[in-house]
Amino acid sequence: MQFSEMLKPENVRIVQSVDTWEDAIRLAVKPLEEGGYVEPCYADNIIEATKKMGPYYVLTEDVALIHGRPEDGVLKQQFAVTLLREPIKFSEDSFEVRLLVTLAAEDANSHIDAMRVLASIFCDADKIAQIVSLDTAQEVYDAFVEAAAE
Amino acid sequence: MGKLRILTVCGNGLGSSFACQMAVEGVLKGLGVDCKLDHDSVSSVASAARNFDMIIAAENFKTQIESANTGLPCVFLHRLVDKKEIEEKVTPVLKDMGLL
Repeated sequence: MQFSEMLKPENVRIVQSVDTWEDAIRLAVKPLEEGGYVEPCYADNIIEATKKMGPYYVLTEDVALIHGRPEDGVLKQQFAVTLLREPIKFSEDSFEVRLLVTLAAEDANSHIDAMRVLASIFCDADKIAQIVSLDTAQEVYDAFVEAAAE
Repeated sequence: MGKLRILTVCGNGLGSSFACQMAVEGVLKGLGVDCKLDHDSVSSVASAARNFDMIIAAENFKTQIESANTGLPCVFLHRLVDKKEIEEKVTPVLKDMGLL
């Protein structure tokens, strides 16, 4: 599946701040819920998994790849991106995060092409710094699409 | 020894471990080590381990992975997609294995 089919412009959002990490999860999952890509229980299942395993989706400074398992309520594979102006911490000892990328995966592998694009961004601290400072959701979307074209 | 087989591990085996796999892939390519990678969930480590030569995971899964007694060298990461950290931690293991 092409990257442009995995990330829709309407699923990229910028939000000023959240009060709790649970709110961050619900907010980051919301575009996928609204678009019919995940069931409403998906966010709750990720929150429950976090309580058991810790924030397993925080990859590095400023980056979380929020996701549950396919059976946690995924309907169709898709990504969403939420950029927080004020960072949130998902646990005492984890990094502060501003870029929340939410993944709905149908299985372990079929999102491989999109993951390659995301990994190229996640591994590049300069690119992350650039993305978190963008002004509009459209610019954030464009940054992901440009990375996919590289 | 044929291709080095590395398993990256996270909670669900499809997101963080997949991103980590791609970061590791890039690092090993840079080091000139021929490898085959896959990703899986921490609950599958005990059964999946026999098909691999090395395990890479986030630090928070250390206890769980060590208790699986895989007998494989394990590398635990603070940042799953930090190529510098991956290279620093994987290089000594590769040297021990005679691959560098």
